[in-house]
Amino acid sequence: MSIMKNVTLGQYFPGSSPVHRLDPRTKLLMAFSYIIVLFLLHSGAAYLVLAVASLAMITVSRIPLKLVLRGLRPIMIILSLTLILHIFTTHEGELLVQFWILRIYSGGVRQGLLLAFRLVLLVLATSLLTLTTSPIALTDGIELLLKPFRKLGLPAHELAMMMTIALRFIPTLIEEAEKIMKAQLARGADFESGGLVKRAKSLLPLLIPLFISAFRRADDLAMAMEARCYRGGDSRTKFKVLKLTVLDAYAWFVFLVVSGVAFWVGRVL
Amino acid sequence: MNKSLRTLVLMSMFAAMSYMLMFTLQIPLIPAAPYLKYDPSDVPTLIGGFVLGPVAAVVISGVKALLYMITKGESGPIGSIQNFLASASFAFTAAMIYKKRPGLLTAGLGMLAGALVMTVIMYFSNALWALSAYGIPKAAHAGLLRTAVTPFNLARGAMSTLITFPVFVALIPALKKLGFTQKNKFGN
Repeated sequence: MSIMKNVTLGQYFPGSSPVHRLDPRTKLLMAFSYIIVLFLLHSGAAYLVLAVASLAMITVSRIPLKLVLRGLRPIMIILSLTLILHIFTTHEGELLVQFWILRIYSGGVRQGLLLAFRLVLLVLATSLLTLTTSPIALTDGIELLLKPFRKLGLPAHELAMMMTIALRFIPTLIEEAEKIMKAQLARGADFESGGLVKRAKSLLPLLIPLFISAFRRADDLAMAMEARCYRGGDSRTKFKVLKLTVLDAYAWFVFLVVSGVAFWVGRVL
Repeated sequence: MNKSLRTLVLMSMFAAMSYMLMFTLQIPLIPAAPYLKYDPSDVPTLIGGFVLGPVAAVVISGVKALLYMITKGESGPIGSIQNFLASASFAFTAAMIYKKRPGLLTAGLGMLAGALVMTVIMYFSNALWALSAYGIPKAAHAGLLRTAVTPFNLARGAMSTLITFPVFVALIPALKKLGFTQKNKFGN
């Protein structure tokens, strides 16, 4: 039964800080620009500037640091991989240590630390985005940001609608899956032992009923939507209208200043 | 009933299932790369592609990847884009071949071809940008691609095919009964 316990829908940490109150469009675009800035820069000092700015933002958002750092856990493996591979394979700079066939150069250590630092900064920023913005707000933001691409044939509204429906039904499906699992366990099913093939096989009695119930739910929902005359994006009004405020302008100002300083520091130091 | 609305809702359901399955049964397949974990999230994408067509398979993968980005966003957008590329190429190829002549044979062959296409696409995607984005040194790329990325994607494709095939066979009567298929789409 425990295989379902890891599913949590989002990591939104509700609050009323200025970071929470920013328009989701601002936050999405800013996270996107931040990533570009991060990848354009290649200097420890510049990363330090961004790190300080990120920490300041975490403080302003009043999200416990522990929670933000928890976002780093899933990348621990790839982080150490980056670090270790650089230390042992990048042969630049002066030789620091040599034992047996392993040689560690100063350049390798530096590169490894630098790129690991970049990865940490990347994850901190994206964690902050999902911690301070609810999935529904982000979906709204994505819809509005993609709207200009509608002329190119990108169905922005439909995409957001599908995301909303999916978000609504993920908890339902999890509950359903748990129910099915319990029913199968009661009939002697075994989900957690055995090799790869056996575990794959044990998924069948779970997946098949799950699909059938999802089909039925889809049918019911489509019927209900049609009964309420749902007809796509045009002329639909919103319960929560997104509005840009002074706060957003201020955030962009800070963002530009911080990136400017980071670029300058990266150039000079 | 409005057909496009039902397709939209169904695609959402497939995406929701796919998202959910991403976190249920993650098993590392290749000992050399414990960060590459198998999860059965491709199963709903593949079945969605069979039922609703190749374009739907891409849309389902896209919705799933976007949901992943806005809710988990672990390795940030890198993981999200990689995830989209992998499942979209897999399910699109499979659905494309299946669509030519719907039947169990084309479903099976389609999935095998899809697994190969996914492996090739992931090889290039990793070689061209993803590994660098993670900060893996250039010198280690070739080794990782050969010992981790490629075997992992082949194993992932094989596992998903192995699981999807019996699920799809079992679902055919239900799909027919619920009227989610056009007439004679299943060629049997």
